Amino acid sequence: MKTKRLLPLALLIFILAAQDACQDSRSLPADEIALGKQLFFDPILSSTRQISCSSCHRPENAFADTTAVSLGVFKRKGKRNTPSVMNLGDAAFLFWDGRVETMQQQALIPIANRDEMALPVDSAVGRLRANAFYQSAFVRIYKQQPSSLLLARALAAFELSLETGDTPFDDWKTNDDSSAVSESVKRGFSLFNGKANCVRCHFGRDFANTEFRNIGLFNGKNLSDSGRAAITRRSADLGKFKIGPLRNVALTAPYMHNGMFKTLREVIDYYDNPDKFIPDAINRDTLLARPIGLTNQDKQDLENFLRSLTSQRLALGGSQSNQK
Amino acid sequence: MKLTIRLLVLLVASFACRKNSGETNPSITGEWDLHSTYNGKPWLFTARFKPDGVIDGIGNGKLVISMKYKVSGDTIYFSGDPSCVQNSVGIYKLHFFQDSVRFDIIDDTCSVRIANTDKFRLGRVASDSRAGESR
Repeated sequence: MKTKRLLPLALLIFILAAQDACQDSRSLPADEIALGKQLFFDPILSSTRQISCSSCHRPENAFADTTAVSLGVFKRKGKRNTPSVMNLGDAAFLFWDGRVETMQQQALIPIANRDEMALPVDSAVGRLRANAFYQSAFVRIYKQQPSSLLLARALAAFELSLETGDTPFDDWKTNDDSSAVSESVKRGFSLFNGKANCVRCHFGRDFANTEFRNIGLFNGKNLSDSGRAAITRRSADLGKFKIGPLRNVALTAPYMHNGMFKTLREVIDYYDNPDKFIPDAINRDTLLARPIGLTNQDKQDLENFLRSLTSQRLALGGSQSNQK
Repeated sequence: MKLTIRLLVLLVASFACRKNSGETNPSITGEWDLHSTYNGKPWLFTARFKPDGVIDGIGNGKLVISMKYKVSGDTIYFSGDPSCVQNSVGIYKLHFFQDSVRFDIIDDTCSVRIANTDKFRLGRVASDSRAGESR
């Protein structure tokens, strides 16, 4: 009699366990990039279980956000504009103030930040260990239980896979196809390297730099973010911020560390004559000491050049380029 | 007569050997590359010297640098390097070998360019290898 009663229960447990096992085996990530991707999009890493890394680093916007500052848990406002996490393979520093030097160091900070995901890293690791799927996934890939080190490794591996080199500009320069871009783009590239002097700060594979510069967005009043100086504790670094990559920049508006410029044209107008926008800047770089004197055509050409740095897959709506 | 022919063959052969082992004087125009490692990973640098005086340097499939050059005899003049002071010109002697070229400094004040150029040797990319590349 007892056996008859227990049999359906045992059967049910067996079916549920088998379903769970089958489901896990179907979707377990194949490598650490795939695991990092799963974690990047999973709200399990926020205290409220409502936001993930991808809530602010939106794939359709080249893994940046569309607002000046992003909203974290409980709609808490962040303090700086969300930068893209694409094309950071050559980056020497991460975050606007360059507070860390590796993607692995970077990966855990937003999880613990109270304005972002607000979950202590130990708690995040505890959640992953208590989750059958992630436990299996970490053991499969790393042969170890989830840990803060492995969580950082997986997230960093995914972020580092987000490279784009499939732009019209790449077709022109790398693939030597002069018909890939318009004459306006070509003029814009010449301006970028010449009269506009953008190349002094934005150069290399991703039009970035390992330096920090003060472009004049600090006046100690309404623009009061001291930037790099808070990390180095050097007054010479007041108002300096990391020079970010320009690839996919057309998709990452608004711009600058505080998201104060809504369009690329506003950015170009600013660089053309910073004093017109912020006459009382402190410690502004000498490269921006005088107006450039760009014509309307120059500005349009520069904008078209910047737009030519957009990944064609992203432009077509395929957000996760080069992901496995 | 036989001796003359033998001597002629020897002369031609020795001339051909000398040409192949020593420096030659071809044009810099075209593609040159260097396979190396950077941060422990494979790094392919390709320099494309265009007929219009522009060099595009491409590292692992992305443009790294675009600047200008001018050749005069065995000397090359580089300008427009963003790492250098504006209007700074670097002058280097070109040494052409059978399938490669080396740059030796003559005069340059830009330390970054010197570090990236002096004694730098690039291999000629065969024209048919480019034809087979996929875009």
